[in-house]
Parts: sequence; structure tokens; C-alpha cells
Amino acid sequence: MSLSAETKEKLKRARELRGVSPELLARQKENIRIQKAILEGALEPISVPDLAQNTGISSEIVFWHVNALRKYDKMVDVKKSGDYWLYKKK
Amino acid sequence: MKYDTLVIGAGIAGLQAALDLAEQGRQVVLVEKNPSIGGRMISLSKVYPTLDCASCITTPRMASVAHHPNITTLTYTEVKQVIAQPDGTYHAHISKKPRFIEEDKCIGCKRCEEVCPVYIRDDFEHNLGAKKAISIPFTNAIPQFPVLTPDQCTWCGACANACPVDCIDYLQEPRDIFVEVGAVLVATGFELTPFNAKPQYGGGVLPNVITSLQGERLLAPHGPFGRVLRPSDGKVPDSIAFVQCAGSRDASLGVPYCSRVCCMYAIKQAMLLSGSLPTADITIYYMDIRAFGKGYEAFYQNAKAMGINFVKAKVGRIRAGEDGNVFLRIERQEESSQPEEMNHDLVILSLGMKPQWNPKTLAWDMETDLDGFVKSPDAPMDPATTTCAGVYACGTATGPKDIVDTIIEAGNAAMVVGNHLARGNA
Ligand SMILES: Cc1cc2nc3c(=O)[nH]c(=O)nc-3n(C[C@H](O)[C@H](O)[C@H](O)COP(=O)(O)OP(=O)(O)OC[C@H]3O[C@@H](n4cnc5c(N)ncnc54)[C@H](O)[C@@H]3O)c2cc1C
Repeated sequence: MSLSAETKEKLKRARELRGVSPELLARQKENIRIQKAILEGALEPISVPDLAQNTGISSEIVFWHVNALRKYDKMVDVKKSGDYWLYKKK
Repeated sequence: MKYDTLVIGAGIAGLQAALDLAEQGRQVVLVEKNPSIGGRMISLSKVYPTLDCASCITTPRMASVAHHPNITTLTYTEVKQVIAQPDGTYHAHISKKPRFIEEDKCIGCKRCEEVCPVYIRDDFEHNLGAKKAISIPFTNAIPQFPVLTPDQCTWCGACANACPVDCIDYLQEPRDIFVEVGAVLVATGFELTPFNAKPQYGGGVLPNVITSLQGERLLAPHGPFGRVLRPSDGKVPDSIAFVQCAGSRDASLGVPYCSRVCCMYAIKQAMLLSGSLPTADITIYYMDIRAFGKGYEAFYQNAKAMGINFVKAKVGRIRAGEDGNVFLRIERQEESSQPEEMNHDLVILSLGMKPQWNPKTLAWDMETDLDGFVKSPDAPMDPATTTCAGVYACGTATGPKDIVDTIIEAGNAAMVVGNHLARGNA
């Protein structure tokens, strides 16, 4: 669906009134980079520590994003291997 | 608008009281500050002592409230002012926060959430999980409306673009609502004592030291990780510790009282953990176990029989170990009292309860006790009556208690409010 003229106008006003902080934009850019790295690194089933090592991103951050991507249907958990679950891009 | 009663807070106390009053034929306006009704109970995994599924018990009550013809439910709404009138009634000023959607148009299809590109921390999951900058608060939230978080939104327009009914309103403002009521019932509940109140426990700093409410979410069927895993790296924990009285019974924290539920919820979580991780070692470090309710002692004994370790010890400090593990420095209260260091994969702090809302923020005569909970001057004979005529309270707003006691108090409060209205006080 395309935006109605009224919604378009409201969106424009909201952008003017509220703006977007540079911190939010930087965080958003960083999140996109992390999720891209995770999805590219999880073409085959992989554990969070291995993903963290391969991407150079801390395992805590990788794990948070893996669960975010699972929730929104972009990744799945495949099976347990040792102490860890393996995840894969959907 | 005129109603018989204003109920503030839609946790299990407010829901039960509103339903009982509505069944008496009273018109109720139920005000909840969060986007969904349900309070803390809807986020619990299972409940002691029966181990029934918390959401299976809460969701039908939430639905009954939402559909009751005598109850008007206002979510994402806060009471700004309550003013006593000479005739004994109250006038309340309520403010409805903007969700940035038109509720009468929204069909709860989640398309906005699906396309939103901004991932943020999910407060329902106590930050363990993610949600989008526009999202429905949780699966069984009532109502099923999304909320846009304005300070996290990049105003990209994706949600409005995807919305099939054009219900996104980027300029929505708070809306004032004024009601006249015969009585007020405060059911504003509790929050956990601060996570970082004891910095030596590493709360909020060490990723594998979590709160008891985060523990509930790990155990919930639709929890943030889908199963019990530790937050630092997704490891299946093999050794889990509970630290009791991590926020209560400590005058230096301003919480000298016992929070009454922590022993039992820790035992419950330990039993549930041992069910989902049968080979894991589970240890509860405690000062003394207070299992005071009906069947609670048997529950405690069952936990012991299941192999849960109960160690009477004081935990002095928690520090990071290797590979995300956590070391607890303990001093046993039985046998040797030599300090020891115990190694665990995951630690759950049994934080205590403090009041969620200070009623003194409104200009009325409501008094609180020294601990900040609503004062019930005639408790235990009449726990619902407060220091303010026509204003009543129930549940954890008046002090720490579990669900059973909360529901009993809510039923009593509904009766007391009903009597107040019937006496023609309002
Ligand atoms: C980790 C943990 C596990 C537990 N497990 C169990 C268990 O297994 N069994 C058991 O019996 N008990 C358990 N309990 C206790 C149980 O959670 C409480 O007894 C119960 O939730 C109290 O309900 P309530 O309605 O009083 O408060 P709450 O659930 O806190 O509800 C209060 C509501 O009021 C709203 N509110 C607050 N201020 C305002 C305001 N100013 N305006 C509008 N709305 C407002 C809040 O948003 C909330 O929805 C547990 C507690 C914890 C912390």
C-alpha cells in the first residue's frame, strides 16, 4: 500500500518535529551491519561462539541479534551440539 | 463520564477486583499504564505451588475483563490527578499516551511490526529479547494494538506503507479523559528492588547475572531464547545458582522487610529448571527458607527430594570468571565458615518487592507506610481501607504478597468498595 497524502504529510511533520538523533542513526547502522554479518556467517548451522569468533563481534551481542532474527523469522535453531545450539539463516 | 469505581492498575489484583465489582452490577473504569493489561503475572512462567501455567490462568481473566459490559478498560493510560468532591465522589484526570496508531481502525495484523527495520530491547522480556520500534507488546497482549516508541523511531514510513488500513498516525498526541467516580481502588502493584542495589553482585554488569523476572522469561514457553540458555553466549547452563535475599532484608538498601515471595519463586524456578535441564546442578544460597503458605513446606521438601542443593550461606561478592562463568564468594552458615568460591554458569538474583507507584504523587490524603507501600491502617481486619475516605487498595500495592493472597485481597476490596457505594457514600 502506498502512503495516503495525509499520512505523508504527517510523516514529514513528525520528521521535522522529532528528528532522528545521530546516536540512533549510528546504532541503526551498526545493527544492520551486525545482522548482515550474522546472516552471511550462518548459511550453515553454527553456534554463537563460532559466529562471534568468525565475525569479530562479542558473543553477547551476536546472541541478542540471533534471537532477534529468530523472532522475526530470519533464522532458525537447528540442533544442539555439545553445550550450544546451532543456528542457521532461514 | 461517570462510573461507580476507578480501578488503578490492571495486574491480577486490579483485574479480579474489577471483575467482582462488575459482577455486582457496578460500572468500572480500569486504568492501566502499560499497553496491555495483565501486570506481572502474565509474564511469569508457571506459578507456585501448583505449577500451573501463569498465562493460562491470567489470559482468560484478561479476556473476561476486556469483554465485560460493565468494565471500560483504558490501557497505556495514566492517572494525573484525583480530586475529592464535597459529596464524597472523586473527579479524576486521566491521560492516554499516544500509540501512534488509530485504535478504531487497527486490525492487529502486525504488518507494521514485520516491516519495521529498527530492532530495540524488549521490555516485556526484561531486555533479554528484541522487539521492533513499532510492535505489539507480547503475543497474548490485550488489546492487540502495536505501540510506536517515538525516541527509537527513524520515521522511515515503512510501517505506514505496509499498513492495510492506513491507521498509523505519526502526530498523535496524549488525550485527556475526565471521569467522575464514587470510589477509587488502588491496585498498582510492585516492582523489583533495583538490580544494581548491591554492586558487589554484578547486577546489570555481568551478563550471566540476571534478575528473577528475567529467570521467569527464560522459563516461559515463548521466552526470548526459546529455551533456557545463558545470555552471554547462548550456552546451555550446567550449573545455576540462586542468591536469596539479594534485595530484601537489608536495612542498608532501605528494604529491611522480607518480600515474602522470593523463597517460593526461587524454589519454583529451580524445580522448573531441573525439569528442562535434568543434568544441571542447581543451588539455592539462602539465609533461611520461608515457606509459610498452605502446601509450601511440601513444595520445598519436594524440591530437596528432586536434588536441588540448598546451601545456607551468605554471598559476599559475585565476580566474572572465565568463559562467561560467574564466581560466588560465599560464607557458609553451617559447617565450616571459611570463605569459598563457587563456580556457576548462570546466577539468578532473588530481588525483593517494592511499590511500583507512589500514590503521594497525586494531591490527596493517601498515606504510605515507612516502606512506601499504601498504608492500610485497619489491617489485618480490614486490609482494603486506606487513610483516604472512599479510596481503597489491594494486592501488592499494600505490601509484598503472592498471587493467592493478592486475589483474596482483591475479592475483599471489591466487597468493601461495593459496601461503600451501597451505603450511598457516593
Ligand atoms: C520473579 C517472581 C516470580 C513470582 N512467582 C509467583 C508464583 O509462582 N506464585 C505466586 O503466587 N506469586 C508469584 N509472584 C508474586 C506475584 O507476581 C504477585 O503476587 C502478583 O503479580 C501481584 O499482582 P498485583 O496485581 O498486585 O501487581 P502487578 O502485577 O504489579 O500489577 C500492577 C499493575 O498496575 C499497573 N500500574 C502501576 N502503577 C500504575 C499507575 N500509576 N497507573 C496505572 N497503572 C499502574 C502496572 O503496570 C501493573 O499492570 C512472583 C513474583 C516475582 C517477582
